[in-house]
Amino acid sequence: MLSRKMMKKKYSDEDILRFLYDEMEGDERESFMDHLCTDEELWERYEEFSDVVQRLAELRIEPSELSVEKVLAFAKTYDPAVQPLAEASVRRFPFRIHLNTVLLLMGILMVSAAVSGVRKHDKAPVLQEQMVKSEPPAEMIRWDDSDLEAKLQDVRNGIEEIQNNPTL
Amino acid sequence: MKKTQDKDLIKGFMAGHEQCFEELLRRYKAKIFTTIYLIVKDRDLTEDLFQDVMMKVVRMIRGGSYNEEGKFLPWVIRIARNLAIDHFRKAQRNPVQRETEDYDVFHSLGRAENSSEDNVIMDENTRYIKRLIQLLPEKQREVLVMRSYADLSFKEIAAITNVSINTALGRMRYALLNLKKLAQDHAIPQDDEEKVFG
Repeated sequence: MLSRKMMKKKYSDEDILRFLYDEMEGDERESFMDHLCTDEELWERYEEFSDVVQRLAELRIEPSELSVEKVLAFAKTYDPAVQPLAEASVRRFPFRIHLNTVLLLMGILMVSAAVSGVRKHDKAPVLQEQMVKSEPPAEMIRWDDSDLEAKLQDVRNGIEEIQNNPTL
Repeated sequence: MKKTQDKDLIKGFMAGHEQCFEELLRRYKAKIFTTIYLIVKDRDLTEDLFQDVMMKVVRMIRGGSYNEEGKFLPWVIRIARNLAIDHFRKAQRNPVQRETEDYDVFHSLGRAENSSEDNVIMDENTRYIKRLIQLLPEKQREVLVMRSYADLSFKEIAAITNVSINTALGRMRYALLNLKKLAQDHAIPQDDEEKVFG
């Protein structure tokens, strides 16, 4: 039978940590505990880590009561079928993009209209001058008032003829 | 009397029993809160993030998104860690601080210091331990906080932080050794040192 000394196994610091944090199971754990009782060097290393781990466990910070109440209130009222307004608006993100695009286009149109108005205003006296100096268009020249008067006279003569001749 | 398991409480809450969520909150609020606090180091911000995390938990459970049966706390801690990272990313849109790919919330810890944490009512030992933890390198602190306060196993920590179990164990080892060394080296009165880390 092999003596305990001959069976002595070298455990790493990582093995000690797995034991300390309860991540060593079964035979491995039993074997480690056996060695811990007999191996002074292993015990010293174990104590070194164990002290720090125990002290770390003292640090425990609780959330405020207000935070806990808010979370509980949310858990009580939350209904996945009914989305809160804030969430709904987030889900409608494409719509918001669309609206922004429309507003941007409207802005661009208004600015361009304003710029165009200013340009026309600047050119107005020049156009007026051109209109005074220029000849009337060809179609306007063809329009003859005497021709219209002759046609009206024809109509008047026709009416008079009808009135004078009752047989018609 | 046998303690109701987390998964049963979650099922109860999914079925509409609010008292089941109340019990979950009672069980884990301190662990969740302490973990968030040691990540962000600011009491007010911790209160806000704690509420955000728990409200998200409520929405996900009630909305049927929870599928990690029996692993409630690691799941919540993962949400808390992600929200804390999101917070720092939003708050610090400085490309210099985010130039590395594996941006880590723990890089930002020092910047959130000294705001309103003085409101925390803790005895001297607790304050001292908290200060020492905050002096640890980020990666070591992350593992230490998750193992000691969030009660995550080394396997779970490895999964959350994308490292091997041996790496997580190694970081924990260095964290504990460094804490011991910090307690001896740091400018703290000798009585306090002995009081805290023997």
